[in-house]
Amino acid sequence: MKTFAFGFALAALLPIAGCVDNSGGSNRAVTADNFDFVAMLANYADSIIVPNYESLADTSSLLAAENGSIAAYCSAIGSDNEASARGAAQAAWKTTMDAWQTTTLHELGPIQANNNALRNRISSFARGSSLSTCGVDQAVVLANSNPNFSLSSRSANQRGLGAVEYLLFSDNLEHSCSSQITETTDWNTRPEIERKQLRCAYAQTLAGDINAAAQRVVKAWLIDADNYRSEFINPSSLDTNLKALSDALFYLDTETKDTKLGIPLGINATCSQPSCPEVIESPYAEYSLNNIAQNLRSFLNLLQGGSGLGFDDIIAQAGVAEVTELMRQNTEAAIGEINTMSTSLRQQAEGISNEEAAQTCLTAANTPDSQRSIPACNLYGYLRRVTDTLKVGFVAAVDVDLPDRAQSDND
Amino acid sequence: MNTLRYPIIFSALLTSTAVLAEPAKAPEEVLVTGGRNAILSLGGSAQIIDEAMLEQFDFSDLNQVMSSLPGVYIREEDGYGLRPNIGIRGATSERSQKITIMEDGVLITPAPYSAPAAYYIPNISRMSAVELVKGPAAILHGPHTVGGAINFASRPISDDPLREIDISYGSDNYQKLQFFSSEKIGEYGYAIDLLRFSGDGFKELDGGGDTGFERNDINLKFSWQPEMQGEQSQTFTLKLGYADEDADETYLGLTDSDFSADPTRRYAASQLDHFTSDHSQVHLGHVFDFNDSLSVHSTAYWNQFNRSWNKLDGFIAGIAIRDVLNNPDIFTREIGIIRGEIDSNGSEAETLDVTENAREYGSMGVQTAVKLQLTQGDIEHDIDVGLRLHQDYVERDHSIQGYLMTSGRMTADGQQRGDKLLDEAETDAIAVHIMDTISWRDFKFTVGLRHENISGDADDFLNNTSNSKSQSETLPGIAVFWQYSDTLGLLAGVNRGFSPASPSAGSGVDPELSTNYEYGFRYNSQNLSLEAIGFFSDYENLLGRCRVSDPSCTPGEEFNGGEAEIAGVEIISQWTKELSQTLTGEVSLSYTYTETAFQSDFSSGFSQWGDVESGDELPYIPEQIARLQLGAKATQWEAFIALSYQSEMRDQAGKQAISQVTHTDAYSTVDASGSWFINTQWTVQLSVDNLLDEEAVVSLRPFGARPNKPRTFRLRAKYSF
Repeated sequence: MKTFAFGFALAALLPIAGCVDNSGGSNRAVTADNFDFVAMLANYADSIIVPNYESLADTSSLLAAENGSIAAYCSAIGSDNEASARGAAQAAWKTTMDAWQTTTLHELGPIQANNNALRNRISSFARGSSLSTCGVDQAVVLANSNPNFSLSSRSANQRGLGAVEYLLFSDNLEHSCSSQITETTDWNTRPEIERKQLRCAYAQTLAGDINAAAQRVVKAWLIDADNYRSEFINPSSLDTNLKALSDALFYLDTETKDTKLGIPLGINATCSQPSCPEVIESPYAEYSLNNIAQNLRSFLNLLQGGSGLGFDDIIAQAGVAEVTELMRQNTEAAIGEINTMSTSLRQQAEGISNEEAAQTCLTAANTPDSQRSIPACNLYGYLRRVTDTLKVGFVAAVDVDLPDRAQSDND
Repeated sequence: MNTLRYPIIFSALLTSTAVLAEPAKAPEEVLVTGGRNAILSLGGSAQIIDEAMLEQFDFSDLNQVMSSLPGVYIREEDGYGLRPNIGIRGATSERSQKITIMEDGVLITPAPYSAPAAYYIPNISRMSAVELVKGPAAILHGPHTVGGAINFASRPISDDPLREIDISYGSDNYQKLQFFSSEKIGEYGYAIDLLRFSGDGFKELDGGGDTGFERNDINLKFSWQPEMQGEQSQTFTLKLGYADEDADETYLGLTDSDFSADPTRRYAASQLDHFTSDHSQVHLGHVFDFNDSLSVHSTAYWNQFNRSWNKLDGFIAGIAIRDVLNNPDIFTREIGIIRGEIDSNGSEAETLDVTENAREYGSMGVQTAVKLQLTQGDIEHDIDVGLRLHQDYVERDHSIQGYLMTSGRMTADGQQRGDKLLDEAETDAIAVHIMDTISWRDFKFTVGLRHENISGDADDFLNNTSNSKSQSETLPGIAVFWQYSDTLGLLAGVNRGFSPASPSAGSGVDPELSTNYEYGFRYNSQNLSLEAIGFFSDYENLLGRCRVSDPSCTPGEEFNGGEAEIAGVEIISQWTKELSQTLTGEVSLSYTYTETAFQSDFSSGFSQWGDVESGDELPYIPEQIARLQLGAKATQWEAFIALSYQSEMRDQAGKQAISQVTHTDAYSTVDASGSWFINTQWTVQLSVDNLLDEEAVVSLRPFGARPNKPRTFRLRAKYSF
């Protein structure tokens, strides 16, 4: 009996250890417990952001160097090599522009500091802020004639890649200012070769400034320099930086889709005409579609974290991998749409000159897989599909708030 | 029941034992359990480590001592147990802040109410016994009753003249010198206990430097037992103590990869880390025995503790040091600076923050308990009524100094950076308890009640804020013990657990509250003792407390953890066998199994919790702890070997398989000792800690991976005269 009691008592102890209720917690929230956000941000910094900025700095350096392509063009003006040298300079500008467009999908941190000071030195293209060609024309004169000329005193819409594009690509050597502007009063009467040289010289100055800004951005990020990278990866600021990176992706919505496409095509309500081709990005180089394609490629790379941990992994961890897949498919469809276009965006926008064309564009935007009479409108449709998923599925899976600027659509 | 006459403050009504040690030299006048015999047949869970057991290995590390007891969780930190992290039954082990710690029945941690982190714990080398009480037994010993209480019993005044010189020398220049002298002369008695121990440390600082420690401890005890008429007697006891410490200790651990390469490495950035402290105590005790049935035990106490810990706390700005150590491949520059391999560039993100963590603590009060025995027919009452008036305070002044790492050395940047923390908190507390143990036939029923009335004030001088916190809690407890047969007894009990919030806690922070259940049995035969107790602690609110080493919170800030459940089984057993007329063998086993789970979803700023889901396990509580000890005792020698095991501990709350998350190592260590009793005066002892030189990550906090103590030898000679 006593042996039995002993055994019974021992056995009776066992259930107590199993009475802890550890059955809860079935939600699939992605947290630092089940996802390495620090490694993800480090991957973005090391594999994408910093290399992108280094690429920008490298290309802008080639553009601006004393023996670079612009300098070579300036030297060749008036010679037999002028055309080819100009073409080389234009190609270098495009390479730099490609690099810049790649970075615009991760605009955060140092490039935004001081009210976007560095960004605006590289490119100030934005909604409602068109390039001031007259300002550039004035600066061309002043840079040559005024020993106290300072680039930093020029407003943002007279600098950057947009201004260089105007100087390198515009075939119209006449100034764009009104007659009241004294600096350009005698411009049109100057010899063609002088005007080319002055414009080229100022393009060289601007390119130098772009390169300096790009180098500053790189320095700000580099581990052995200002090391913003650590600040970006800092686990203590995880929420803030994840939100900043997520917000940056919405460039695709507010800038690429709306500013670069929706407004020029008249789809966006900001344009009160059938279309507004005058606000196209890179109109002189007719490089708008390339810029958009570059944005899309960069978006896709950022979405997937390159070949490392990225937003797609968070989304997969949240159990909705189809969100990534949907955005990937539509992004690739958009890139494919661009690749098949044979007319520039400017031409397509200018073609939307009446209500009928505008309606055709809207139809294409709403059903991008349908007819392609104005393929840029179909492109807009694919982009909108991507950004619609970005605004709903993405923000829910990544558990971030929608940035203010992407709260509403004025389609 | 004679043993119940002696406790100085509280009776031992709820206690039990499963420890069969040598015939007790236990100083029962300073035991809160009443001693080994008193707890054999009582209704709650308790254990005692007596002087004979302490002598077996002569550990100076309290962690090693306490690890032999079931229900106790240890998180090692510095390898020497200078500032132990001890938890009981799931109560966090973090700086032993959730358990009540006493010396001779008097609260002994620096400020048990205002700042309960135990930066001071008495040196085990001057103790003659350690008691552990849990479950319903714990409500006699507040304020922290969620897990349990530990009482250190200092060496008593010897009836006969006794002098001892105890000298040890060991690995890493470990030295211990202790002198003890005690006797009673007529009505008067005294005890002098002088202790000094030190070591050079087992870690190697990058670039060279000290990593050791030195402790001094002076204790004087005087007694006066005036002659009285009849059966009345009284004893006055005055205890004076002073202890200090000087240690080159740090919070800085290692990255996983550096730990794998050399666990005893210490980074260059910890070269200035230095801890100093001094502790003073005055305890005046009085025991008045009116007769065999009525006695009053009173103590007035005053403790003062000052500490300064100059230590690396990260970078002035930028990445938290813990994040750097967790991600050395990502934060390459920061880890390079910490290692002394990269020079700081002068920015705040690369300037090392070495904070002088200066604090002053005070703790004082009076306590009295009346012990009364009543008999009504075959029912016997043992009634214990006690009152304690207590006050304690903490003053923190943490000032920052910036240092630049240059060629592996740290140089001050010369900037005045002011204070990181400048505050004070104080608490007035009244605690009363009443307990009646009713003995009837083979049953003992214990019914008790504890009430804590706590009023605290806190001032933050940097933010110019003040806070007051009043807490009042009544804590019942009930237990029953049934002596089922001569050898088997059954016990069960339930009590209310409580751990107060600090004075700085906001109105939204609740005290820690739990309902604790336990039941089990105790088997005692001639050769075998076995106690097995299951426990279940149902927390209404678990409380987390931010420490300096926790990122993104203010030291002392508290966090509600909501409901939690902790359950487990504790087993302790000893088997003895007379192998011959002169040789006795013994086998001792201690085992604890624990399950834990939060019961709600929440996000906490307390880094050990983070984003918690219901069902997540609590951090730093091992699922299994075990210790198996084999011993042989002869007339002139004895030898022991002990195998200790502790399973992994998760570093942060969670439910994923522990192998998939950050965790400490499971590890087993073997300790061995052999003693030769040359004659009645001389004893020589050789001890080896961690005989197999097991290397393990025993903690990932405060910052990074921390090693256990490697294999160390100690040779000891003790001379009694």
